Amino acid sequence: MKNRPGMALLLALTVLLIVEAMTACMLALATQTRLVSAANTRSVRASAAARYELRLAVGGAVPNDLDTMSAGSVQTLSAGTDGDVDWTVTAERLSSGMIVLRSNARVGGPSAFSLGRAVAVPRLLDRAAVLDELNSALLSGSSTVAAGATDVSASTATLPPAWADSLCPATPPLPLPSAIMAAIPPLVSAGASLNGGVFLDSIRAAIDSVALGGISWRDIEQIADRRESGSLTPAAAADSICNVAATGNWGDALHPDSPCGGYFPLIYSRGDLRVQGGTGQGILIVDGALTLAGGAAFVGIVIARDAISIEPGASVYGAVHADGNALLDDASVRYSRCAVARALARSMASRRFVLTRRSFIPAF
Amino acid sequence: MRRPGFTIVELLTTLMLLALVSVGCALLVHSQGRLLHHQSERVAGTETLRTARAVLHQDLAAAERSDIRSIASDSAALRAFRGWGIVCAHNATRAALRYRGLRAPDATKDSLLLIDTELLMTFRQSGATTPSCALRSGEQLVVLEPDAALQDGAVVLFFESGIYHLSTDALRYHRPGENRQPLTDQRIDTRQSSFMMDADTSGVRVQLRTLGNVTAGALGEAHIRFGQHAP
Repeated sequence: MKNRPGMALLLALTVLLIVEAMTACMLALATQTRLVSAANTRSVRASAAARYELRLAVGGAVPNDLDTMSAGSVQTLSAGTDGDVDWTVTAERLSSGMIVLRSNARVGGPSAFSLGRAVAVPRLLDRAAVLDELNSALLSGSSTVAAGATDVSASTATLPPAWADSLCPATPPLPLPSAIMAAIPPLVSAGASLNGGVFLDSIRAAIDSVALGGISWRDIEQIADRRESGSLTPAAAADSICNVAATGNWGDALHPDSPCGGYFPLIYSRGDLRVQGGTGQGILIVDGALTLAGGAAFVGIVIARDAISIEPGASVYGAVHADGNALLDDASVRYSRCAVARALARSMASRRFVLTRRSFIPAF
Repeated sequence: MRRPGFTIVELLTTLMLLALVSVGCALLVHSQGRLLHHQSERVAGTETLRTARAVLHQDLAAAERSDIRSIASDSAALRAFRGWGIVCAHNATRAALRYRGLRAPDATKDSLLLIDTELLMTFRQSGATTPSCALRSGEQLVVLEPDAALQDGAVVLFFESGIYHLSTDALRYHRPGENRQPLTDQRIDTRQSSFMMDADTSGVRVQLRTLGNVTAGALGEAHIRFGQHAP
């Protein structure tokens, strides 16, 4: 049988061409879908990485050197690489109490990659504002009575017992401190000693009803290291290290070199508080009336949003601010800029980012 | 001389086989074409839903409850975030900002809100001489005359009033005095799609369905809580 020209080969080739074209189309579609999916995955991962690193930065302690940043300056808080993810978190200081945190993440290789961004604007305790606000040994928003042999003094050089100048953080320039800043003229007994000026200023003497150093009282309570109530006698608790979980451990104010010598807790009491003897340091905030009795000694900042009573033998190195009456009887209140500044610098109150409303900003 | 050739049976068999192969090929091409079209429709529908969800999520999740003006089944009126800036210089009447946002601030449409204090104000755009501010990558300089004084380092957020609509087969957005602009392809079955505010007003439930021209429309649901932009 002879071969004859026919259409079988042509038909077969046509069919094969159609099938191959369709296969190529499907392959191209599948490849396109895979590339789009990979790009979407990279984009989601980059966004998640940026947000995760930002969350870590916001939740962590503020680095010490953030305090030395001037407004407008930028510092890298964290940067690293994990597999195909690179990230950087930077902090830009806007003012003494506000920071912009920017987190940038990059996922992918040199040719195909995605970028993720996240931005937060948390607050920090405005130390400069608090230092300026508490530039007196005693501030009272109501009546002030210095009875018996009470000693109220204001000197920038005063240091708590056993403290050295080397412990004192640098502070911005401030005017000379006053002994008493009061809303109404104080009553001072003949035996009392006042070393420093007495000023009447009802606005400066009153406690800000909204916030301390830009942080609301509610947020202050939230970030407090210790919440106390009722009556207690604080005492440092340490073995080789400071036991910050121990009940009533308010740091060791009289032994700065001891394990608890560097522990300056933010102590918050919702309601009245009575401190019966003992020693402590840090920032003590009482949303009620405070009584220091039985020779209690405190170093740092004391704020009572109601009355304060400092009974015989009790003493404070730092600054005391009461919104209500201030009654001092045979007590000692000595302004110490070093104690105030160190309490602010060491306390977690100024070492944590505080998130207020709209702290997180959609990033573009 | 008789030449060897095809019989009529061979010819018919060949023709029948050819017809079968041709019909098979035609059916294959047709079904593949339909599959491709079907897949393309589904991908486009899913992409439309994804776009609608992404757009709504961006604005609604960034909004606080106080930014939501009203939610109806076919619309959501809100104060939508459009950008933010840091005050880098100011005097008694003007403030210069390092601005970053979706678009440049527009005094006729936008209001600004001072972060932290929640102080809301309007502003006028200023033609003042540009002050010197060190801009960072992606930032632009904007000079404003706000209603209240702004301090250096203050962070301000820019908002515009807008309404999202589910109408005429698409998700649309309109600002006061402007037409409704489509944000998606016209593939959304707006009669089967809706917004619904949570009972405790903490968020909004968005239900979207694509038009079912080829197959039953794809369904996309999202529950967006207000003020959930935080990571």
